[in-house]
Amino acid sequence: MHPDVRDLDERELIKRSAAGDLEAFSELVRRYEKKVFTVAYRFTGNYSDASDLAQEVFIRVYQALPRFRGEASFNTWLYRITANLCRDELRRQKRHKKTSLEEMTAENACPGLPDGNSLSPDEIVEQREFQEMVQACLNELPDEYRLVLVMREIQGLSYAEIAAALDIAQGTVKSRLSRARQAFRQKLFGRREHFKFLSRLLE
Amino acid sequence: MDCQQIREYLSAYLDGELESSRLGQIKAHLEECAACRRHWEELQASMKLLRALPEVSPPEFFREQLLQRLPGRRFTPWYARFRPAWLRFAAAAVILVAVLSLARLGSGQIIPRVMWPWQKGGDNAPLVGQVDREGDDGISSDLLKSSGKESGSPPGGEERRVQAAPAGSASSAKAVAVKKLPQMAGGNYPGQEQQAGGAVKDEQRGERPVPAREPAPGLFVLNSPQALSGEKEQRAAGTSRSGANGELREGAGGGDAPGALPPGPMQAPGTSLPGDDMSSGLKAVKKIMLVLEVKDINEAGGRILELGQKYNAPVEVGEQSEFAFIIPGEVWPGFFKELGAIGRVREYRVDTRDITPEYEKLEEKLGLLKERERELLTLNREADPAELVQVQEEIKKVTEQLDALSESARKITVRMVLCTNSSCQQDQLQVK
Repeated sequence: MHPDVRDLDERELIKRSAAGDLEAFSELVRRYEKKVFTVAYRFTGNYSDASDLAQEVFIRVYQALPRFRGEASFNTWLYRITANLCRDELRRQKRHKKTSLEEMTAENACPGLPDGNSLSPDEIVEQREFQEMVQACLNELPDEYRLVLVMREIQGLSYAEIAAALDIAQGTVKSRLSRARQAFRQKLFGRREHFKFLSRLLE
Repeated sequence: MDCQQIREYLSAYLDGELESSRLGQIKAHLEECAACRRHWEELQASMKLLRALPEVSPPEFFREQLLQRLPGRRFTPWYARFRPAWLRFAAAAVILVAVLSLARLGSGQIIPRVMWPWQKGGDNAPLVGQVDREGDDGISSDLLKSSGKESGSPPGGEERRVQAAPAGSASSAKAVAVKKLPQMAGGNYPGQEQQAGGAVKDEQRGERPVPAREPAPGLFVLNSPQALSGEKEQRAAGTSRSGANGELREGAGGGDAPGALPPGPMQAPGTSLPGDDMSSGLKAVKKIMLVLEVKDINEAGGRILELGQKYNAPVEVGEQSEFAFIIPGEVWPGFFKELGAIGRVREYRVDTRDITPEYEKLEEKLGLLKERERELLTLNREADPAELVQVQEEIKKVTEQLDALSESARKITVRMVLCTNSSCQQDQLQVK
């Protein structure tokens, strides 16, 4: 029997993967696939694109592993690659302006938060339906906004890391993130205001 | 600073990235301004919701697929290395099935008739697929025989000639076929003979010099009222549902092993197939697939390219004498008529997707957006300028989507495969 790769520590797995040991690489992927896939899914908004994107990430990782020197942690390095590929995906999409019917007619499922009862994010966020709604709202944002939000809120990257990955100034990250957050807030809460506004008018 | 400027800073404030000089200012403003305080709370809540989204597991076989895709793979895949032999086989089988399914789907564009994914309902139901293939075998050999002797008049070959007949006439043969369906449910071959009655009549019409003179059936139903003229009575006779789709399916059904399929499922795909939307004025996206039998593929290809220019529908040339183009629905009948002079339509299929619900949904969304825009414009003291920009952007986006939808409903995507008499046979062989 092979010694169980599951018992190997990350450094050893990286070393073996870099040397082309697919069993080790497979284990490395197993440990990180969920994280990477989540980012890809939150960014692309659908399973199929997310799957392609996440696989691209790991292919890139596999190719680049021999050059990985360990200055940053593997986790950070992986996240940087993921962010870069998300950005590339965005550029690619822009070039071939997607007009697939599926996309054009994608169900609009971002009705915003229900009006009325006081908000309790902790409770409401447990509901699957609600999570899907949040994702749908995310999908409706302009791509640049979505990307920067995913990088900041899902990946937890710093302003500097985002700036490096997107090749933009930190000041730009700051302002873009601000606009992205406001836009997202608008998606979730806009309609609530709208209704309250109407009711105020009626008073 | 006004509220708008304050709100610009809230994001950095949230991240603790705010210059200390601004910090006091923001805090003080939030103390005294209820609207901004609410904005701030909502902003925090939004981000909290985003962060609270759960992790998502990748799809099944994600890693397996990935390992297969790695460049210059130097080792056998992991499952081949330490799994027992039977499991290895199972994994291989799974991949094979996946590949086969893909092949089935992928081939739909070039391989005529029975392999088209929407044929016989359910493109991924394994059982149906299996039966399909049995049907293929039957029908392929039938076709081989028939096309081999086409110029002669094979005894009892009427049913086959239906397939070789121009699409326009094929439809009426189909009309007969569908009516016969209940009787054929037992899979009795007599069903074919009954069908042949209709076919003979068609065949006579089909032997006129320009075989595909009449536009194909699916067309009338779809979007060319002007083309209705000739065959209106046929349609009116309640056969409108039996467009080209059903006909071909039926042809395959006739060759099926007796009792292979119960009448219900057999009929369902045919009747559920699109082509009924013209009268109801629905919006639908149409795809037409056809196989054209020609004498000389190169020459015919050239003429098709010319036709494309004439009708302002740039034709793309694919592999294996495949052509694709998008053409406005209203000029398709003319195009199709001219195709008749180039070759003989052996297969004709219409796929329609109703996009009315999407369209209506978008219209509704647009209405809401415009309403909001009006409010923002008239009552701007309460309004957030960023929101107005956003609403207007959204209006633009939705309008574009609506236009794109209308546009795609106005046009037909046509895919065409050319074959010569012998290569049509080869196609059939490849299907096997």
